[in-house]
Amino acid sequence: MLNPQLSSLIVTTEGLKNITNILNKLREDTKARYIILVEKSGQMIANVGEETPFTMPLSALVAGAFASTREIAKLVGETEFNVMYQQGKNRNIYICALKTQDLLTVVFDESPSLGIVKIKTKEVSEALSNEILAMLHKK
Amino acid sequence: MALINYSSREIHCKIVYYGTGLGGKTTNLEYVHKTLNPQIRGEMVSLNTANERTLFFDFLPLDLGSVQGFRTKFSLYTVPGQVEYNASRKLVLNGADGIVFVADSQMEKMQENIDSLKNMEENLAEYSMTLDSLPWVLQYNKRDLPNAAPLDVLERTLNTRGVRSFEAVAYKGIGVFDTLKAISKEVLNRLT
Ligand SMILES: Nc1nc2c(ncn2[C@@H]2O[C@H](COP(=O)(O)OP(=O)(O)OP(=O)(O)O)[C@@H](O)[C@H]2O)c(=O)[nH]1
Ligand SMILES: [Mg+2]
Repeated sequence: MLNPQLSSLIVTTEGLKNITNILNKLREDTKARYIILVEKSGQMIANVGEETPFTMPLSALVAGAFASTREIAKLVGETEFNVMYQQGKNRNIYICALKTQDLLTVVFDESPSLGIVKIKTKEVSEALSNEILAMLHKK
Repeated sequence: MALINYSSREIHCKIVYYGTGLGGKTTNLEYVHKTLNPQIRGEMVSLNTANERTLFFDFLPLDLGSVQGFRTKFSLYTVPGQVEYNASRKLVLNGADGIVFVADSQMEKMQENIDSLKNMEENLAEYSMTLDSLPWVLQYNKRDLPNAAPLDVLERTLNTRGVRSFEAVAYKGIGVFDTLKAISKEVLNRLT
């Protein structure tokens, strides 16, 4: 038997289904290419959209980049650091920290506006946090 | 922290290679990457300085087969050993399920090993973890060098808790897989 007490996050079939539904809806609303939900220590929890062979290194790097930028923010006196945005020529990456500190990562091209991505990710972040918290507390 | 996915039937664990600068942490991962079949290991990502020292971390994902019907996936990370990179070292430790402490066997590196081990305990404490609660193993690397300290000196100095320890010559691969097998087994034992 797996010992659930010692592992901190158990992704249940039902929880993953709920999360995937939320992410799929978010993807429709934002026209994102793909969306990855990354656990704060760098593991992927869920992904939707275009298949990419790089979800594992992407998750590790997203968690690292975000953690590092948040530390920088702290050092310059900013404590409310929840969002990171990188704008490229073809691709944009929007990362938003949930209240569980897990990272909602949206990769999109120029078609949707950043404003829409911002608003829509904000709208789902509460629901996503709740799904994760429910799995964390399930024993 | 381990992530157990009942939907895909996968267990994901994070193992961190810690230790002094130039001790051979990156070399361990490079050897694993070079040796394993691409079907069971992913690409290695290295965030380096211009002179090949680790700046933030190395990352190597592995698929180590099945346990009780779950595929076990390990993410190996190294930290930067250089003293001044403590902020990034601490970030990489976040969520570690197991640690390999890579000690440099050279006599003159003994104090650096001691300091690095102490630094690791301090950083773990920030995540409310201790060396008594977390699976970890020791690797005494660079056994090939003439100035390597005798094994019993290393054991007495660094292994006061009596964890499993391995002699290694990482660039030749000696001890690399023994170390990895031991830590992955200990991590899985905790979970199951
Ligand atoms: N002689 C000898 N050299 C080794 C051994 N293992 C690694 N090295 C060499 O030691 C040097 C440093 O190795 P790295 O793996 O980059 O060390 P590191 O611990 O990752 O160092 P940082 O990234 O600065 O923390 C390299 O030149 C390696 O080839 C060993 O067992 N014996
Ligand atoms: Mg290195």
